[in-house]
Amino acid sequence: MKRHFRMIAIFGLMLLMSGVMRAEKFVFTTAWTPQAEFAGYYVAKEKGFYKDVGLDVVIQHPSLTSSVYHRMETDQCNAGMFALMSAIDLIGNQDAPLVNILQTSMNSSYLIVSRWGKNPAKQKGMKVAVYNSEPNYLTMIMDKREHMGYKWVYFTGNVNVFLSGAVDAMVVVSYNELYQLMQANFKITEEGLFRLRDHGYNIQENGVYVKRDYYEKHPQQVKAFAEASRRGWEWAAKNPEEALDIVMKYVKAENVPTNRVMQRLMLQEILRLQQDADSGKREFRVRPDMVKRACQMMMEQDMLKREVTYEELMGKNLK
Amino acid sequence: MGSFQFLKQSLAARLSLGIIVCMVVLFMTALGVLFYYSRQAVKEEAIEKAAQTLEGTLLHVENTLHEVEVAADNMKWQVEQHIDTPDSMFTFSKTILEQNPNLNGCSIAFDPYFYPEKGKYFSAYSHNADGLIETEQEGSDLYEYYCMDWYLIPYLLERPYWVEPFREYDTGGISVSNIITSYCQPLHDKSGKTVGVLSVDLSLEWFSRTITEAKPFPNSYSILLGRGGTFLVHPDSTKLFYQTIFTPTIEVPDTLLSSLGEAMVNGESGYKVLQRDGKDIYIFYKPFKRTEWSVAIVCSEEDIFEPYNSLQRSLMCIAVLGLILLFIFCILIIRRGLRPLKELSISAQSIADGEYEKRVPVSRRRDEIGHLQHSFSLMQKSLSHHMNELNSTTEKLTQRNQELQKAYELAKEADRVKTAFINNMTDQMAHPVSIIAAESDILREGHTKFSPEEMTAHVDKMLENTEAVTKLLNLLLDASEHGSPSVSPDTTTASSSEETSTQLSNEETPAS
Repeated sequence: MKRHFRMIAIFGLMLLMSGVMRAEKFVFTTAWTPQAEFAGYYVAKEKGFYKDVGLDVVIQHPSLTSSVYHRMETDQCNAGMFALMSAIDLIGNQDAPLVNILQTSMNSSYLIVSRWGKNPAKQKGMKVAVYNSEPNYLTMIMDKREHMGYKWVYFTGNVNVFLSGAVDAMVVVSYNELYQLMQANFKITEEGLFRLRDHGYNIQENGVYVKRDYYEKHPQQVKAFAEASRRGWEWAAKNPEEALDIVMKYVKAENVPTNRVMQRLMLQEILRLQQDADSGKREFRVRPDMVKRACQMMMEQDMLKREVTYEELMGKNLK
Repeated sequence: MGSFQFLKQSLAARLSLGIIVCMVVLFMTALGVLFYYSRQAVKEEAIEKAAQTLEGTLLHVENTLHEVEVAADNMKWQVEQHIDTPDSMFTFSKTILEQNPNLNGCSIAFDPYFYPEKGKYFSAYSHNADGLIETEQEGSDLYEYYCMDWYLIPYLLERPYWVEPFREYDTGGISVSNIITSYCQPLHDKSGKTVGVLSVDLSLEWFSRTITEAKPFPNSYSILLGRGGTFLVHPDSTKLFYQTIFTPTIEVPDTLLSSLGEAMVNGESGYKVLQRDGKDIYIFYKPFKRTEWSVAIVCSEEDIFEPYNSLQRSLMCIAVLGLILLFIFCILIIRRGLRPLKELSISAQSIADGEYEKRVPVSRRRDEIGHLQHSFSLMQKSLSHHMNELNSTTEKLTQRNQELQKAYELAKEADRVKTAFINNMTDQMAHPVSIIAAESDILREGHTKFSPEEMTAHVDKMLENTEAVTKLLNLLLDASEHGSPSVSPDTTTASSSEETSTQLSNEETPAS
């Protein structure tokens, strides 16, 4: 009896060890500090979707001293989140070996909001505040194509520069700063709002990228991460309040100055942006036409040295 | 049901209840008016108290802010005078902190490459860490200060500006954990072009402490809102910097809260009443003119109206107690007052039972009940007297009745005797009359045959019987004339009839 018990214990331990050994560590860096923009990944981790596919995923957030690409470049993480145009910029201008493994955003979230309620497309030469942390390709392209002559004011912080009246307009994303302005009781008018996606500037944004060598060496892990992440997003879409509970856990852990109302609105908008404008479905794919259009616009404005093809972006032309 | 029966049966209770109801109405009206004006007075006093507390806090804070502004303005002049000597900026930033212990830090920052020899970044920054002043040059690729609110806003607005409180990013160098607010003003070169910003920092902890001390009521608390309605000071730390006063209204519209937020953000003064958890809360607010922030004192209704509630409780207790006592006194007094009536009621019952002689209690009272008692007593005496008289008369009448009954019986007997007498007389007269009739027939038929003696004998016989009839008739006449009780019909009549009868019999005998 004693001998049998020992055998069972050893067998159990081996099973446990094999499970732990099998779960491969996978570090993923989001595009920003914790918020509902990344709800699907938090859900996938907390609900065990990553574990189900044999991954021990560690979710990291970038800081001022350590950007997403810097982390990928220095092998601090296996995957990182970039907007499509940022990825094209990195690939086309800096030869960054990035491969898209999951595309969540299907639409552009960028808007220009006028401080004075005037149509931003008609206010030539106005001072427009843009975040210093990320290049706003689309608004800059729009500025040049429409000959607006905007004076860019780069800022780090929140919407205070805009609210103070120091600038005439600000470039915001529909899932974050727009709600911050509403939260500050700023009266947004349709006249004073310019949605880039409604004016021929609809380019996908957030997607997950890995370095090409990792993509080649760990195709299973990459596929597993993408599938589990997608499962996480679908679960979040079906269970938004529970997903929000999970988001708030991450938000509180990092002491992010936000609140549940803001995060709920953000999650709703992020989920809306995941629906393809044509099909109305959550497709989780990079649209070749958008890659092409993005490259064309960037090259037209001398923002890109060479065209980045859809196949290159998706790692399909690998040798 | 029992109490209803009691009320139905007790005049004292009914009267007392009526009085109490009237008193309650009177009390409620009087107390209502009193409470209304008391509430108004207490509310005005509370508003005044809160306003004074706010005013005091504002004055205190504004004085400090003014000191900061004056120090920064003076320093700005010096900086602009020595704008060509970048290294002097470190001395200036340190000096201002030495001279103003309230200040937490000072940056004298310039545009990128303003001093080419200093590179892209040049910001002389000093920090006061509990009396120890450290100085460094801040700015790097990780901390592009010219993109920060404190640099951009006054720079672009071309005027001094109090920036919203913020937490410095940890980018190496001097680490500042405090949340700070800064008074910033643009710096100009000798040609008047804006080339940098002078910023002096004040710890928000100081603000928070000063504002939290504003506590006019035991449970009141203070809040401080930034320009966009952000909570800069709030007892619930989860709200600090994380949400604005408008946040709850985005998903669930709340007109009152929005209107309060707008009033505060727009720099208005006053107070508003909001409902939270079913209770009213009073929010008194006033703006800081210099920073465009707004401070508010939040008071619960209980706090505001505590003196009023205390007065209300006391008055209500006194009123209720007074009404209970009044009710008891009313019952006692009315019962006492109505006691003679009860006695009269008993007396009346006794009289109803026939006890006319039972004495009615005498009262010395001179009121209506005394009069009633007196009158009742008189009535009882009079009734007793009349009853006695009635009894006496009844006795007499009864006696007379008996006598009349007897007389009637006698009359009835006399009438019977009389009838018997007449019958007797009639019977007695029949014989002589028949003799007379027979003699008459004899004479009519045989008068021619009879001798005078016979004729005479027959006539005599007729006369004799006629005389007997006459006698009987006389007796009848006499009996009818003297049919009084004085002549006994029995004896007289009997004797007379017997006599008559005897006489007739005697006379008849010879006649027949």
